[in-house]
Amino acid sequence: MLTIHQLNKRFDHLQAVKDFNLVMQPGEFVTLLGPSGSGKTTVLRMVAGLESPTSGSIHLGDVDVTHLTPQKRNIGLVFQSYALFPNMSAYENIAFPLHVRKQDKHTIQKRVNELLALIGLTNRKDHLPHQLSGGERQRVALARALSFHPPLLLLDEPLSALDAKVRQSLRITLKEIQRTLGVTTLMVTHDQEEALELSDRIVVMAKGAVEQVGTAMDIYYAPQTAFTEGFIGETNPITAEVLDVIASPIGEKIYNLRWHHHVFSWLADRHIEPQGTSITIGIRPESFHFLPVGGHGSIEATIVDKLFFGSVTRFIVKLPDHTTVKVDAMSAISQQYPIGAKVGLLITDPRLPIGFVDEAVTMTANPS
Amino acid sequence: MRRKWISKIVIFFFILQMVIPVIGLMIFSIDNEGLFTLSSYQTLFTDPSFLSSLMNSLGISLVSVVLTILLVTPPIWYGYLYSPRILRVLEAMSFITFVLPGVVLGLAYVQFFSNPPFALAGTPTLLPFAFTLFGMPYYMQSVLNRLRHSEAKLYHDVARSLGSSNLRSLLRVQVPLLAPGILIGSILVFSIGMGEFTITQLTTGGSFMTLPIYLQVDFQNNPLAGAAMAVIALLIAIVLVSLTLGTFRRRKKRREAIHVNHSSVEQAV
Ligand SMILES: Nc1ncnc2c1ncn2[C@@H]1O[C@H](COP(=O)(O)OP(=O)(O)OP(=O)(O)O)[C@@H](O)[C@H]1O
Ligand SMILES: [Mg+2]
Repeated sequence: MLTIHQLNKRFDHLQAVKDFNLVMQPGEFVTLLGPSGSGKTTVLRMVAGLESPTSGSIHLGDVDVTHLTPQKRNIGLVFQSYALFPNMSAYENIAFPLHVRKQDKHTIQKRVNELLALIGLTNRKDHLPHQLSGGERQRVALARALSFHPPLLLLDEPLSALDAKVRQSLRITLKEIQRTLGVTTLMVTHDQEEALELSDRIVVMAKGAVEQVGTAMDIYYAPQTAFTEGFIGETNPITAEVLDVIASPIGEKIYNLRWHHHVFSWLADRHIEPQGTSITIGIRPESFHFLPVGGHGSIEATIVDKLFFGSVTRFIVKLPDHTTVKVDAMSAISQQYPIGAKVGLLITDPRLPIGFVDEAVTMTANPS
Repeated sequence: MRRKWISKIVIFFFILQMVIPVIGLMIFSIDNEGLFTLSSYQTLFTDPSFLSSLMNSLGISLVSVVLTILLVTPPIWYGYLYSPRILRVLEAMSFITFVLPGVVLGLAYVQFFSNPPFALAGTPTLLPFAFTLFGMPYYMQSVLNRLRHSEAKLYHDVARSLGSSNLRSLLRVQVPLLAPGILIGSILVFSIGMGEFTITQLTTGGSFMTLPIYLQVDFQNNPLAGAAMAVIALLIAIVLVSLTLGTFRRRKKRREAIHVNHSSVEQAV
């Protein structure tokens, strides 16, 4: 659908985008995720034709669009700041691309009304942009970008200017609309939660280059670079002893590891190799679990602090060697674990099938 | 607190020194040795050469405005969006007219345009170009100001990404966006056209009567009629300014009206 090959963009002395490659399947939802200034918008603008690449190529289907003007690309683009034409009503904004395409009056009317219904703004159609709320404006901008049935939709931080509540509901709307229409979508965001929730695949970018491409699970649980690991979510780096390496049913390497007398299984990350008999891996806070103290193969630990995050509570937990780790648990159970309490701590790899977790625990119970 | 007081007093005297001569002129124009009279206005409006110079001035100013809009707007717009260099050159050029006195430009025009193939001296043909040049710094700043505050580039990008040609974007999106700046700039150019004396005198050699020239001649011959004319010029200026402000206010009202309509519909539902 969209093929980006070795794309580069240089502004004077600044390499804004470096050797960017991406192949998107029809109907796929891909997110560019990265910190401010990592070149996400620049990639999007080059795909839209608003910026010309220094080198590299962009294909839409079989067509080389690298040097086409934006008008000829037929791509829908939604800007971060909505950018509705201030002198046109919601209706006129959505109709604009259809007028441009010289469609007849009746067709335009039908299409615009259909879209207004889709975004739930039929009764607001004659409002000018400044009379609409941020969320409403963004929905109009989305409808405008979709009105001419573009095969590819580009979204530049479409939700970042909205408050948390609206953002959440619009996220769902966005995903629903994208699914209903099946339009291939490339979105830019620096909100990792948004990226993890919406995307089929995520492209993590840093300093103009791709750090990692993968599914949300891949990116989250198997970060390939230190940057990705640090950028997305929290991790606890731990060094464990390698007891055994086995193969999973689909041929992945699984380590059986021992850490503070606790034995657990861990799916091998491609970029991490054991050093001798030990290996350093990153454990997500929610991959730890509490058991009653002395529980089945667990590490005896002490809760030293609690931070309430809403549905989740973060515990700071001290281990026998006086190091601490961060552990996330549902707030519903956090009452059972007051500060100072002793608990049993376990690690489970959420990527592993249930059987493997059991096996590791069994090994712990019968150390040989 | 005390500073506020001082600045108020300063502003008061500042306005006073501007207003007093004007009021003096007004009184002078309706004063007949202590009695009220409109005779000077009567003389003025029955003088055919006053009316023709008024029409000339209005005409030449309007032509200058159209010329400015057509000649100056596109390069500013293009420079602002795509080429800071063009913009810098334009800005530098527009400042030249600040340091270039009308006399110099007028003499240069006479010198250059006196012989074929450009034998234009003695006709008003050159005036709109001169006024455009003189109005350019003001026009440019007011359009630039609008460009800076209206995210013109963003909207142009949006229009193009939606498939619009550059021309359609210019006419349907950019012009409405920049209209307030163009309007204010136009008024400034217009008022330069209405008031310019030196170049008009030099290039047309008095063959083309405009209001300022008529005023100058008339004021010498008949100070009373001259004063009446000055007052009329002032009225024209006031009408112009209120027209502009009125346009903005009407626009705003129209928007609000749409808003009210909708809220009442919602209430009904
Ligand atoms: N027109 C331009 N001229 C010069 N430099 C530019 C231009 N556009 C972008 N840059 C630079 O290129 C780099 C990448 O910018 P870009 O806007 O793509 O970042 P981003 O990932 O979208 O960041 P953000 O999350 O803040 O939007 C930045 O350092 C920026 O300053
Ligand atoms: Mg950006």
